[in-house]
Amino acid sequence: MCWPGRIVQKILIVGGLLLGANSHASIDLGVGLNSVTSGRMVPTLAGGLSVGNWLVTGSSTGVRSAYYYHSAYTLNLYWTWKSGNLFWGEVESGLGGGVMYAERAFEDEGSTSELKKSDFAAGPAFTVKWFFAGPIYLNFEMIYGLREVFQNLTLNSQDVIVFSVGAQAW
Amino acid sequence: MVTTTRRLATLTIVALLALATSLVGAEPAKPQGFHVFLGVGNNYVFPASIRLGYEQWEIGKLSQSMFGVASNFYFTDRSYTSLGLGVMGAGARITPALSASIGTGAKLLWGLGVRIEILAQAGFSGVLTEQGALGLTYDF
Repeated sequence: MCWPGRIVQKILIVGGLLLGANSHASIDLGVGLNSVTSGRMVPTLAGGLSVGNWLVTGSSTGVRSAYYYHSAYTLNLYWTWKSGNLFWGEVESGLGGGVMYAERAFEDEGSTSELKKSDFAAGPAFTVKWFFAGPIYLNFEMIYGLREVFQNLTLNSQDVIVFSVGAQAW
Repeated sequence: MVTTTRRLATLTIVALLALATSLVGAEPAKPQGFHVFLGVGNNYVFPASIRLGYEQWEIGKLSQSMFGVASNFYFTDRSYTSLGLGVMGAGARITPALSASIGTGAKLLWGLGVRIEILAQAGFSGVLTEQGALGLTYDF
């Protein structure tokens, strides 16, 4: 078997073990905002699947007009835990890693060529979720995008923040 | 410009080394009573954060652009996540905002401690920003 096949096989085995060890699973689905389109009210669809203490989340956002489009996607994996209570609602936190891919393009009026650029960020990530009304939650997710070392040393990062309001099923 | 960057990098390395050193065998950084936090922010803007705290609660300037109150949830003796509520500056406007952060710290000597935090802010106007904070704590 070639090496990508072996990696997939190992992921499936580990995933199967995790699913077997943790019977409790839940699904999150929410809408919100993404810092990729910060300052504009561009809606983001954000969701997650948790099995035991593991949580996989993803988000998708995008805007399109006759002249341009801008889309961004995130994928994160967290180890989560119950943090305590804030007033009447439970707080859940998670720490892990994530990636973001964004693509934007612009085509001027009368032009036949399209200017296209893409961005990629990866790094450690955290999430904090507050269940303020039963299964309804406010959720923050942030990827601390690692880039050139001096930028990180000045406390700057290629940050990606997803803020959403959603509900948890199961 | 290069000199400035080197100085900032040196400052960060020294601070992180102090933090790493103090994490080994140091007292837990979880505050037990009243405390203050004074920190620099992105690009070492000072003061980016000035907070007065009691137990898990903190109030004041949470970051360079946000005033509010936050609750820290410690998941170890030194590390925490937090949720906050306040107002933030977004361009020329002030807007209600929520924040979440993750941070870690350690106590050094005479009630002094060091702490580093990454904070995500979401303004109701749709502005989302990241802020860093690195600074000293003092427990009364």
